[in-house]
Amino acid sequence: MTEGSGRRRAWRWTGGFFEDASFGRALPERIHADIREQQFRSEIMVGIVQCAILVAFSLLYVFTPSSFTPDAPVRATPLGLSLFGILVLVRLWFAATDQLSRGILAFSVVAEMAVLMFTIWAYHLQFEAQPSLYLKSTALFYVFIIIALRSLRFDPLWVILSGLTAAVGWVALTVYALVTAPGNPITWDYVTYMASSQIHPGGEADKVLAIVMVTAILALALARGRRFLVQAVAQTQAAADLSRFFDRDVAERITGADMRAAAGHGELRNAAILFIDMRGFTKLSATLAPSDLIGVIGEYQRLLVPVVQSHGGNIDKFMGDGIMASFGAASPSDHYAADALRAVDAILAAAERWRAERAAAGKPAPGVGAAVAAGEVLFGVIGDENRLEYTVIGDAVNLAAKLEKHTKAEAVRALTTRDMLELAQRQGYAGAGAKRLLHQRDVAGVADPLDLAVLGERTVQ
Amino acid sequence: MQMKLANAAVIAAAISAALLAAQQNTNLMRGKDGGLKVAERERCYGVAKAGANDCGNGRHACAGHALADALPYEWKMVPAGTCEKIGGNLKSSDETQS
Repeated sequence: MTEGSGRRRAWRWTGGFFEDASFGRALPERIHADIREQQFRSEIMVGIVQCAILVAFSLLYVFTPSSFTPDAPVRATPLGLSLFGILVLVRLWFAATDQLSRGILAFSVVAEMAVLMFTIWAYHLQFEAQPSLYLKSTALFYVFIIIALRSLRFDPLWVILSGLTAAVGWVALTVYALVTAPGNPITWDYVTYMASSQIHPGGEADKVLAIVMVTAILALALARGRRFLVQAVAQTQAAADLSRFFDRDVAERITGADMRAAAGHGELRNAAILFIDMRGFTKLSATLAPSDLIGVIGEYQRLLVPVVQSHGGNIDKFMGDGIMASFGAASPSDHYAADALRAVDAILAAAERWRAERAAAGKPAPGVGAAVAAGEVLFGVIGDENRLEYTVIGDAVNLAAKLEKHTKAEAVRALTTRDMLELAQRQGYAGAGAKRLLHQRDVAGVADPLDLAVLGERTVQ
Repeated sequence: MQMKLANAAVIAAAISAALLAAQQNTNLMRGKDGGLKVAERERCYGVAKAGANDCGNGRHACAGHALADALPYEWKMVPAGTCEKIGGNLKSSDETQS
């Protein structure tokens, strides 16, 4: 594409970033921070789902006929729902104010399950019956809802704590029913068990086993899920980091592609190629310290890149102090030439302001040279399997690079070909005033003389 | 400091709400006949007046649905030991028939 020292200098600037990026280190703090952020959101989500469940059960309770006497000593369901609601709101408070320590979370996990166990226990008071009645309560199923809710947070510890509390609670309920029962409360006959208030030890053991199994399976799933979460967070950040090395359109093209990008994949497009170069860079690099030099380049790129992008241009690459951009290559356009010339006008204006500001502040004030050429280019992937690059290839690219060098020979700031100017005008480019045409010029590296158009007069060196 | 005050307020509110819920839904904190009485009452069939039964049975869902006085399958809670004295039955007629 471009030859000579500019290109080699470019590799010095850009190569370092890729070689220094290390992927095998321990997870950096910002990834931990991102995971904490995910857990924070999970906690809020758990709270919201719990509130929704509470509302649903409250409505269910209000709109179904109650099945106990109005003067029962305890109304277990509203009591349990109230206590559970209070716990959820207190935990949401601590979560929302970012004070949810492990201690508070552990307390709330145990307390939630304890409230459910207490509510189940209170059923025998509500129905004024033997304690063994509550062992047949359908409210046992809510144990699984509460355990499962804990899995919304990617941490198996809380599922295990919730499940263990439930298992211990159910054993305690069974023991209480056995101890307080009159006579011999135990039966091993399933039909008697189902039809009476007798207790079937095997049945209760089954329930505890089911609680433990569900807990273990969820904990296992979460342990795996947590690993995927860490990977996903790390890779999302890596992708975000790396995507900064690509133009936005190109990054979307890579992640959105059906097939993995491979060398040799390409599309022919009519496009315009823009080269921008900082004038006096060599002189600058001799006088400035490296950190000041990279500071100047950074300032200049932050100034010009948004201008290019706002006119529909895609940054193809940075080459040291140079910027190569394409219009209509990454995504097809029918006004690419006009866009490119408008971008050049805006760049020259912005660069001139920048130069004047720096000169006024007594700082070195580099100028800018630019050139555009249009034509059919190949937009595609080059490189080998391990180091790929989306780029544009074609005569227009070479011509734009040569024209950019030719601006020095003509002592102008920006050049294009007469053909391209006419094409842009057909695409709706009006431009500021008539452009000076240069007839039949010899451009270094181009065989035939060309008609050129001056986009910006007066080079600033 | 401000956060500590807010936390204290939240916890105080939570405890008050929990006490209120207990007061509303149990008779633990209600005057002289408070306490969680369980064994002191029994279900008594055949004594409820029409519309004054305590709760559901196999024929309808809930309290106040008894169609006539003293139906043998409608029940009311009565103090333990008094049911048979007032001519009631400890078992539903639905149960004894089957």
